Amino acid sequence: MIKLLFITILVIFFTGCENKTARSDITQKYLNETITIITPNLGKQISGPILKEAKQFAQETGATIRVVTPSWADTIPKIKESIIDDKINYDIFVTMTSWSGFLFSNNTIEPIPQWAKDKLDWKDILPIYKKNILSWNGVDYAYPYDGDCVNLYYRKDIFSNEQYKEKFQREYGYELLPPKTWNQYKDIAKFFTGWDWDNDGKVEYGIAESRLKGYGTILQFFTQAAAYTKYPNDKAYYFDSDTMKPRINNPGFVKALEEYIELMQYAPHEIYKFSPRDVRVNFIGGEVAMCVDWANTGTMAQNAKESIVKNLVGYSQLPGLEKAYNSQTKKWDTLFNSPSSISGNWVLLVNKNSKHKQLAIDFAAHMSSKKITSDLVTRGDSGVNPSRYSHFENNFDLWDKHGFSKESAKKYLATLQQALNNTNVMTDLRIEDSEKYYNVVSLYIDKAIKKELTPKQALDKAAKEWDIITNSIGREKQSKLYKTSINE
Amino acid sequence: MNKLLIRNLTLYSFFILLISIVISFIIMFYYLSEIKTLDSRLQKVSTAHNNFLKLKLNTERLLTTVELEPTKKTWKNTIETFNKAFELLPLNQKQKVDELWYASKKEIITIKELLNKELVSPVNLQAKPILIKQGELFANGDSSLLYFTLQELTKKIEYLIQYENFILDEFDKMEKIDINHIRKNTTQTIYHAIFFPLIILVIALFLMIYTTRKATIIEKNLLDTKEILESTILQEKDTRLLINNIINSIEVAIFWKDINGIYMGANNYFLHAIGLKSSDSILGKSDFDMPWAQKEAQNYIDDDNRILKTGKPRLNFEETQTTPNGDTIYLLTSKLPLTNTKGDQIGILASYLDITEQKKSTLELVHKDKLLAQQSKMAAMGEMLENIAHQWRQPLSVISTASSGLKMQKQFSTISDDSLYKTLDTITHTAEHLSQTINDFRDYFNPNKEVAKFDLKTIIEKTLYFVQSKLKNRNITIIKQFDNIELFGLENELVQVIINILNNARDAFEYIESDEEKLILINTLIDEKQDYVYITIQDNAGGIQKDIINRIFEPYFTTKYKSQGTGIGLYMAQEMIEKHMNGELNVKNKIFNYENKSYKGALFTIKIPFKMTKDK
Repeated sequence: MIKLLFITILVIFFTGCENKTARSDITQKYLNETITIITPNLGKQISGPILKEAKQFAQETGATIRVVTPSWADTIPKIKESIIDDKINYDIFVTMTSWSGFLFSNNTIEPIPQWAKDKLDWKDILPIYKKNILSWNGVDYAYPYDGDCVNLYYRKDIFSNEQYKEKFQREYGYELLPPKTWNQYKDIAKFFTGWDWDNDGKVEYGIAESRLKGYGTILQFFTQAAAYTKYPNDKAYYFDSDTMKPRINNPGFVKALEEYIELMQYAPHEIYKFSPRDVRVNFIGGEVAMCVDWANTGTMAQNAKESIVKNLVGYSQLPGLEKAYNSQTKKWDTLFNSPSSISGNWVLLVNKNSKHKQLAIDFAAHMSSKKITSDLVTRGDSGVNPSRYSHFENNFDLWDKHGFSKESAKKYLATLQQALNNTNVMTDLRIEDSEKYYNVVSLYIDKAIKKELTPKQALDKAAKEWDIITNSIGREKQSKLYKTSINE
Repeated sequence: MNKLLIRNLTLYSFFILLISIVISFIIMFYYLSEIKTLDSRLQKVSTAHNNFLKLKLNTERLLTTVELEPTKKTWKNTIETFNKAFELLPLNQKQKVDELWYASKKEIITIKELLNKELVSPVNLQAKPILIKQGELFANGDSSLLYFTLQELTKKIEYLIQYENFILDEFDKMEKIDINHIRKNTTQTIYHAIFFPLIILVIALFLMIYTTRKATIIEKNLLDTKEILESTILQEKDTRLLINNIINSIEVAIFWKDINGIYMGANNYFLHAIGLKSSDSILGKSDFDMPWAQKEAQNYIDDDNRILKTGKPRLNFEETQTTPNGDTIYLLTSKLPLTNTKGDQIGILASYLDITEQKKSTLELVHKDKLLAQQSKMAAMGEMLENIAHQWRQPLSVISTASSGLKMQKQFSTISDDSLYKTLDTITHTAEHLSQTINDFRDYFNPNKEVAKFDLKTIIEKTLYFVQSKLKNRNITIIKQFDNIELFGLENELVQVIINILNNARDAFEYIESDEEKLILINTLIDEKQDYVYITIQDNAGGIQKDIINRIFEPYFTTKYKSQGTGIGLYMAQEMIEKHMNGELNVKNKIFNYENKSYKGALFTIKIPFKMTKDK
């Protein structure tokens, strides 16, 4: 008993001395753990929901989640810098598809563990994204945040105007319908350019497209060029996959760029300053009859405060072309070529060297979960578009909540679904230093847009510089990466 | 704890109190020094925090100020100031913001480079804040290098501000943690300042209560123990007195020695026997100091040493001792080793009984037995002589008749040679028969006690032959039913026993007046397990009276006239069976049937071990 007394006294003493700062709150599962997420500053879009959810997740789990939002241009350099500098650490990279290739290939990304797949319901993800965006060499790395898909949006109220239809029929000899080809697109754009077709006292235009130097413009170009030269049975698009010889200056791409520039005359004069956001603003502001854009336009038209085209928007597949340039035979073949574009997806990648990997994976899985994304895809300002089977299910309450009529939601989703079911699909370039390739081609296309170079000259120069970049990295290495990226 | 000594309890209590006080001081000192350390750390963190806050304000001012140049200068100074404060931060705190400050510094370098560009000079900015100028350019659709530079600068500053916010958050956390620590430590110090004296007081009270309780229990136990002890001592005294009385009152000498053979005590009988008056006078003496012979003393000591060596007692052995009078007495002695409670040998306890008288009585008894045996033999001889006389009567009559007839024939000269020889042959033959009769009796009354193999049936037949004449004279019929059983033993003694029983039966018939046929039935049998041989001799003389049946084997007991019986026949018979043959001889009255007629008489049963006799 004397021993018991002795022990009791000691316990009382040391219990009294206990530092009671360690709380036993079981819900604070990541207390004192910190992760940093890097995502480009895109305003409310893409990075906006992440900032909001990071705050919520941190409150719920006790974690500290820092979100840094450098400029678009700084994002990739900063990610690359963090890989070589031990003192700069990002736990989650929020990247576009084109940026993920070098991260996958350099073994810097943690594969998605099964528990995270279970959490985010991996089976619910559409196969087209799993295959072309989220995996690399058979391993699933990327958390599906945004499932991008480029489509055509048009003013269905204007297109159904009998007077206009008759006029169009008279002028072009065929019925005014959503365009099936880029030629029709051009005709319709021309038809609706330079007059007040909505009777608002202002002159309107046929189209709005991104032409500001940068990613938006260049991804749109490659999207539209796909109809010209993304040959159905050829997985390769940007390069010959064996030789890594650029295809961007082939007749298909040149023709596409010519048309891309020609179309600008049917858009507002400021088109050369248009970023994708400007395109959306112009369309929902009733300034243009058509636009080609990611799925964001569809949602913004319905739920943006500025939208005057709510329930007036029609959705259609990207226009195709009645011929396509075959890069292998180097000939134009007559066929209706209408590839889809899943360019510009945003994914979350967990750094393999993260000091708090569990927390990072947990947050990435949370951010890309059905619960979070199902809400975001219905909101135009989120920049997040459908990527799951469940996003296409008849869950119209959410759509209704964000301004979609059931009819509009159905048609919008049906259009996206049709595009995502297309077997001929154009994806972003995912090789080492993709951004360099994009920057080069962006520079020269801009020069072509500004008439400083002809399309042919611009693309020849771009192709030449692509070769230089490829040689500097290693042709064989890039060939291998390119093949992997297109699952060849 | 109940077994804990108060002395130890006091010691433990002292240590517990001492440790409690020491721990209290240590903890108080620890918390106070912690507060001091935390305060010092908090000051450093606060200094760095304030410097960083200035830095952040200046960073933000870069975007909004119209006086970019002085702001740049101030901004750079605040960077330097913070950097110094940062270096002074404790390592732990430093580590928390190290990576953030590292990333910030990298961004600061690029921002500095952009700010140092000529393009971003006040002239180009037209004395407008960067943000305002950038907005103007954007609104005007200006896509000049200045616009893109300002856009880049703005984004980089915004990016830096993000990191600055993280750093400020960390400082806030650090300050909160430190403030919380200081508060907690202060609370803990107050708490311990109250708690520990209370604990010490509680411990002291507990120990006091416990010690008092323990002392009370011990006191009670002591009193109880004292009572029990007193009672036990009294009982012990009584017991000792009783033992002393017993020891001193019994007619057995008791004494005890130590392991060196020195007498440590003795009872009165022993003291008296050796001529001492008190037990004290024997203390310190050895056997050599005693009145007995030196040789006897040496024997006793050797004996003691053997017992001490083996540790085994020696019980009931006879030895002699010379008394102070010089007489030799016989002792029946027992000795055993004395051990203490631990089992260690401490000496010898011995007792002896003076058996001199018994010894003498035994010798007398042996002598008496010999006399009885002699008397028995003499009686038997008498019986035998009578039997011989009976045996001889008829042959002597033949000789007498033949010799007198021969004399008559001679007197009348009628004797022929043939008749003479014939008569002489008859006399010779009869004389030889007489001689043979003597040989037969002599053989069976030979005192030879050699064990030999013999046939039971033959022995009984021979016995009947010896007594047949007297039995025939009394019309006693012998009914025999026995088998050939081979035995080892003293056949002459068995003959003598059977003769004694037959004589006893024959005499019994003398006292009854009955027309009934006189019967003696002799049977032999072996029990089922073949352990014993039984010889039964049953008569029909009416049995033995109940009041004497248990006494008939006593020596000198007889129902006959002195001239007819000695009273030792059956006594000797039983002695022979029991002592010489390890058997039993019993008698009882029994009613039995013979040829459909019921009779009553004495049944003698001789029980002899069969296997033992066979083994012999």
